[in-house]
Amino acid sequence: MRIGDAWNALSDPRMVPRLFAAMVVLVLLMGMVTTYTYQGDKLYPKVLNPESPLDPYDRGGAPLREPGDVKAQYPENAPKLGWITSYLTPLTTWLAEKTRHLGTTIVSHPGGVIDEILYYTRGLDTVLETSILMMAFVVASWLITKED
Amino acid sequence: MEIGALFQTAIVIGFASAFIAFLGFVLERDDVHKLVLTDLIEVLTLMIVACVGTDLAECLILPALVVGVAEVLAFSELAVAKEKTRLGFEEKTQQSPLNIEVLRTSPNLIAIILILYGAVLTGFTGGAVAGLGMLYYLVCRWEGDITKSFWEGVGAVSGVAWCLWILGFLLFFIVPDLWLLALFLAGGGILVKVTSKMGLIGIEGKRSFRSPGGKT
Amino acid sequence: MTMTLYVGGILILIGTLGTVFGPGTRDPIVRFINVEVSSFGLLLIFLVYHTTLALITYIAAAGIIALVFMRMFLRMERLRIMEGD
Repeated sequence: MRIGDAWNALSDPRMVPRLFAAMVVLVLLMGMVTTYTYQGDKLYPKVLNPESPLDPYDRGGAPLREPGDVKAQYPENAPKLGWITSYLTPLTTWLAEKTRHLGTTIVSHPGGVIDEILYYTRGLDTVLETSILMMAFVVASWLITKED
Repeated sequence: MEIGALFQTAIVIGFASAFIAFLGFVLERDDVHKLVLTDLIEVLTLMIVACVGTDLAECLILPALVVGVAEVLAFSELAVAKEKTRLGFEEKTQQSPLNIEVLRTSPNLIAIILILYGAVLTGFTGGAVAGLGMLYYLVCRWEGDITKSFWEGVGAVSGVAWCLWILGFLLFFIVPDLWLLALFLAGGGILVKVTSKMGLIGIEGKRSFRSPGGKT
Repeated sequence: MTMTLYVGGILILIGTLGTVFGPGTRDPIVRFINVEVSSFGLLLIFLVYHTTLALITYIAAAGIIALVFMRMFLRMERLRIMEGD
């Protein structure tokens, strides 16, 4: 088979996802024969402190007074590192004082380590990923409104 | 460390399942079945990411979940449009043949609770939770009609939210001292954006799931 | 914790096998329900690694995804019936 035939077969839109899946199958095969070991020295480690009201997400610090403890990949590019992690809104401060079981709610309110990573230290990753959301909805909206 | 010992087991299960699923994808020909397999592959790859067990892994999972919804919607619309083009005719009716009782009798309170909880959460999580509440209301309770201007209005709201969101990101990088303002812009922007997008799914879903008789 | 991980992993494996090879693979709805078995395993994995926010988001997103899928199955089936007429 000449190389031109191979290119033509590749240009068929039905072939591309299947070829991609076949490639991933090969990669996974290689991954299964190679042994993976756990690397302990990771960025953004998860620290558990069951006594804290912010349980799975408590990284230390006090709101607006001292920054939390975050192990970022490029700390030199983030001069305000840790402040968002330690921030709690007045509502969530009140919740944290009253109960010990609303940690997730409290931390996903503005502030907390997840917001710090999503918006600040890893911000452009999030913008890129959400651009895909926007494009998918543009395609879907166009197809839906076209029917009317 | 305990997570280290679990990682080994979990990654083997994840790789084996992903291998099977991708193999199934290679052998599948039908569009609808391919889309179902894509959903399965999303689950499996998210499991491999979750096995790392850091905060960064969780941050990669959160947008992926919301983006996954949008991708499924876009590709399902594309599959239906493709089928229509192949058969060469339009759907005659948009009303549902189903008559699901719970869609008429479920209380509004569930929608209110979900939207309030989502508004408290903010961010991607809040967007998904509030979006589910809005979708629930629109599918079950909403009596209005879908006009093009309504659709474009919802789109405009989400566009403005998107701009606020990008502005928040720029503030983070240009003026790091304003991190508090940027945090609220980013968190609120993504909440409104994701919620309004999920609402669009609800408007579409109303046509497909409610029986022609409407509320009664 | 270890037990939860094993149960989650086994559910994921069963769901995958059911979706790809399992009985009734000609019907997309049966396949989609098999995917739900895998999703439940994923929820258990999230629980093991304390990724609570991902857990909440996944529960919400799975509800929306199920709606979108069912809507597509309905419309495709209606198109098939109209083709038969």
